[in-house]
Amino acid sequence: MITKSLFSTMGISAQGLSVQRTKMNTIAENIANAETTKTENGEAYRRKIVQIEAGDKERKFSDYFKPNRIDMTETNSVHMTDKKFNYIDEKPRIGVHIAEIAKDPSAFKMIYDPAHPDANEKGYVAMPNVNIVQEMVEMISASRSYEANVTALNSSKDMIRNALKI
Amino acid sequence: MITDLLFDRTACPDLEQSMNVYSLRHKTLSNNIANAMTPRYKAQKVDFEEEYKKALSSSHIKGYQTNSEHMDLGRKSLTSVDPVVSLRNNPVNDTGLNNVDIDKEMAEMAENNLRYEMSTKLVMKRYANIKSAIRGR
Repeated sequence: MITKSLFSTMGISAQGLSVQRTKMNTIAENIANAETTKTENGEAYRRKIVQIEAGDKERKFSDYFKPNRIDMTETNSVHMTDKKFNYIDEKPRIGVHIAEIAKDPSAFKMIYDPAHPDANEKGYVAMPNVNIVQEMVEMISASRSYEANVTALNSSKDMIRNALKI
Repeated sequence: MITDLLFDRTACPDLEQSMNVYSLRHKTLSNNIANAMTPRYKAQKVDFEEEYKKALSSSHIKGYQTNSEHMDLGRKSLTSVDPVVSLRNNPVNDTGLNNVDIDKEMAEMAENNLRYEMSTKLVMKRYANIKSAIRGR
């Protein structure tokens, strides 16, 4: 029981490490493409955003029923309400994973450069919506978060080693 | 009978329970650290010491059970209290991301690690004592 618990703890820290590494890769991609004016779909590069979510990636069987639930409407105060039966699970979530790597829908920066081959008819070039300063800040935060997970993992290793000394 | 005297009346079951609690707490803290950057995550904690204190204060004299028919008298042992995982009621950080206080989590993890080490050391000492009693010198 105790080993199961401690080894699964190392799994949680590993998930944290993996998430932060993916985040770091995405940030590196954003910075590398900060000047890319043309991608496969013809427009400039769009900033990628990593969405982190708590809990395990595997969906439970019961989760598949929730999106198809029909909401009830109250037309009379005597009617039963489904607000009482809210399906939000208040159970603590264990683990962390990446929900989605989304694209930033915000507008491109327009720069006047008529000589540029990707310029439009008014002479403006759409530059990627990547903000280098923001990316740098997020990179440092991802890096520190990675370090915190490494510390937690080392701590788990020490605990297991101590238990094995008995 | 001899095993009862050697193991059940020593601190070992209690120490075992304390190690269980510390490892569960470690898991919770690791989870909080892994989710330090997760939006809307709610930090968790393990409640045990308070529950145990409550169980302790209910009565003061503990009766020994030398027969399985005996009534369980007096204070509860550590093993009768189970640790409970609940949500921390910290306010949301200044960043507005979640309510994980990373400094607090790291400090608590260091403390918890030392406590776990203490429990393992005590178990080791316990067994060393039994061993020296068996050897008789």
